[in-house]
Amino acid sequence: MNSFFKNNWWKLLGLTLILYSIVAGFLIEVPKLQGNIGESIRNLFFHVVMWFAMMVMFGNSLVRSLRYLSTFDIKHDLVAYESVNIGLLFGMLGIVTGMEWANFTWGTPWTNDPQLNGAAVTILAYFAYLVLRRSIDEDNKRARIAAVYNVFAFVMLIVFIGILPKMASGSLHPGAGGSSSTVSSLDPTMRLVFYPAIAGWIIIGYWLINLKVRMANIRQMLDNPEQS
Amino acid sequence: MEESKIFVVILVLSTVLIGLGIYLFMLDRRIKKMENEIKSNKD
Repeated sequence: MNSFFKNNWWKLLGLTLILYSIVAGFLIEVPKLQGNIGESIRNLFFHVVMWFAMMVMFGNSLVRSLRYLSTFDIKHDLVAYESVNIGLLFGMLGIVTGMEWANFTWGTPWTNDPQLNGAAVTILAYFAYLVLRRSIDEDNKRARIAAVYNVFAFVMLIVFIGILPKMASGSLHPGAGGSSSTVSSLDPTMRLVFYPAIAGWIIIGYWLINLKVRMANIRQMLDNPEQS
Repeated sequence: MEESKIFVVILVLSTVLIGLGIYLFMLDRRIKKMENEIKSNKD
């Protein structure tokens, strides 16, 4: 069926990119970095990519919230909501895999570090978005208030993940204060796997949002059969 | 340490991913069926 490929090629692309990152992520040569990090630097392709995918999901949610505020089309609110859900999925995976990697490399799953704490606070801010939504019954009111909150949540994301960690004096985690950020100093060979992996996860994120939005619409139509 | 062992890890992770992919496509198809049902019920 050619229409299958025409409509779903991008989903296959996303899966292929991630599959590529798994195969190439293990086969390429990685630089020998200081400390005992060794081969585990390959976690860049599986842990760090989660954070980038998360930020894109939350960014998408922000855009949809703004579009809702300018059009009051409730469809945008639904996408904004599901985007936060998928963003939180990636964020929680990032936290858990980060703790696993930290425990293995630093001997402890958490440190008092601006980047770690910032990521945790950001995730809490978006969980609060879910709690806020649940506290309001009326559709349009909920959408409006949630959309405004979403703007603040994204500002918090920028502050806690993008700004404060760079101001810190130094940390075990790359990217803070004096040490160079993961991305700008990334080994060129690793970049060949890192960027496609991020693209793959972003695509899968959009697919997940797409599925959840469609499910919500079906549920809505089943609950309200008299409305078209 | 034998390097060929890494291929097992690649195989395992690829299996997990392909499994996830199959699950997602199945979900997608189930949802599309429901959407078509609703659309045909409207007529």
